Amino acid sequence: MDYALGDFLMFTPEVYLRLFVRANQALGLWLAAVVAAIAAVALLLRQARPAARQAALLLVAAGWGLSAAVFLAKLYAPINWPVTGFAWAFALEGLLLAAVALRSTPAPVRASSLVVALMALSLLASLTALAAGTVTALALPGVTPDMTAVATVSLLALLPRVWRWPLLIVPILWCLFSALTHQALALWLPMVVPVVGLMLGGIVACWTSRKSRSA
Amino acid sequence: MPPIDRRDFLAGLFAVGAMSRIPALFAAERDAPITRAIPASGETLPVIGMGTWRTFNVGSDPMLLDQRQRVLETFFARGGRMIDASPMYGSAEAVVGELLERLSPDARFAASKVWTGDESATRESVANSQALWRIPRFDLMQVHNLVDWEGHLETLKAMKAAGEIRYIGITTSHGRRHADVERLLAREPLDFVQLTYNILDREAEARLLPLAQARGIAVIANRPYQGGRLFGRFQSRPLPDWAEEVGATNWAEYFLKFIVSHPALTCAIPATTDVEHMRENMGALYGRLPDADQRQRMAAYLQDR
Repeated sequence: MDYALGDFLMFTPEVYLRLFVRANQALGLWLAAVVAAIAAVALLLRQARPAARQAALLLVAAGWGLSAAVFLAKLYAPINWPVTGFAWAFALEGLLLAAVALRSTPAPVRASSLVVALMALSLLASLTALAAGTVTALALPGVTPDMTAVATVSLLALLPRVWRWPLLIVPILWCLFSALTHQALALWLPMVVPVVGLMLGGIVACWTSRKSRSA
Repeated sequence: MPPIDRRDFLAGLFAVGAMSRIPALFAAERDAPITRAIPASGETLPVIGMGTWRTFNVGSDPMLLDQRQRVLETFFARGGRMIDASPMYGSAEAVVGELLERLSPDARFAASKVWTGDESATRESVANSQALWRIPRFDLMQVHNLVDWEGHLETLKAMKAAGEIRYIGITTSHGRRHADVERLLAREPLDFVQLTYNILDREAEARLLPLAQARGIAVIANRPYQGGRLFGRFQSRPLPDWAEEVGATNWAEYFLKFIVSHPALTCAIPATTDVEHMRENMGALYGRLPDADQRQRMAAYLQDR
């Protein structure tokens, strides 16, 4: 009689997938604002003016706050007690991102890279919906933690390395925790999201092509 | 009144005969549930209870709360009484509390646990669980997995003496710390011990179950299906031809009746999220139980598979 990873989880896959449906329900019409914010981040990152790209980073910071408050603290933490700590860590990451936005500017992004990134994010966003069997379980960046982490890690490649490393700690820890949770739940399809986050985190930590630019 | 001819007379005889068979069709439903006495008091408990590990941790999800309500409703309707939870199970205690308030069952046996590394927080933990369950008093309070048991057990003994809880106990699972459990069973005035016991995990048979029986301590079996793994291994296989002789019409009854037919056992606590599975679990509360020879045969049937 040995413990299996699943023995440490206190909830079922059904309950976990319902969190995505409930997060979307909780936001209601505000979901449209989230989608608009995601589009705004993409457009702002294309702008030549540094202030526009800094504003994009501020919107991402707000997404961490929203994920912390709605998905993690309100819905997830009551069924999985370690998540309470992550809710605080997400809030801290949001503050850090906001602070960095005031001191540094993300590099402008090429249109082709942006299209590829948005297509990849759309694909990843649909995986929980596919696993849950309902489009209402769509996982949006800025609402759900895995997608917020993956989108942010991609964006950190646009920042100087000195800012990347401290900002990578929370997303990578979260993606590790989330990947193990998915494994314990045997939710293989949505598990792709945190695994992609971990892989991107490794790449971004070592990425050197960014031309440093301070605001 | 028209005369009764031979044809009507025979039809009437047939109808009376058929009606006399109807009660047998519902015999399983009318049977008294199988119960066991709690040695400390003589109070009887149905041998099938309900666990909440993983299954009742649904947070505030209204859809899942309604669904779990139907599971709990089925449990009570089929004669269940003992519900076991723990502060470790996320929102399970709060969910049980909400559903108990909705259902207001006539009889229930509320069992939870103290699960904190702070030995001075026993009363606080019990009070918190009581508030979540929305009940004035627990029937049974156990020290979860022997976590800081020394301090907790002393306080629980005092609470029992003051009438704040009815019974006290300790728990373990996955076969952990059996030597410690054995020492506590031998020396502490426990009413209950909860441990892992199922048709494949039978380590407790060697020392713990005989000791509990000798000391007059009720035994609750957790993980009766190995956390669901027994179904994964055996559900696709046929039940043995002689399954009905041991009172089993499905695998759930087979696994549960094996457990509760051990003379030291008081109660098994399977957990489920499914109404139909709850019906199957509660089927083990009725009918015949296997004897010692049949139990050996039941275990042997799975050994070769």
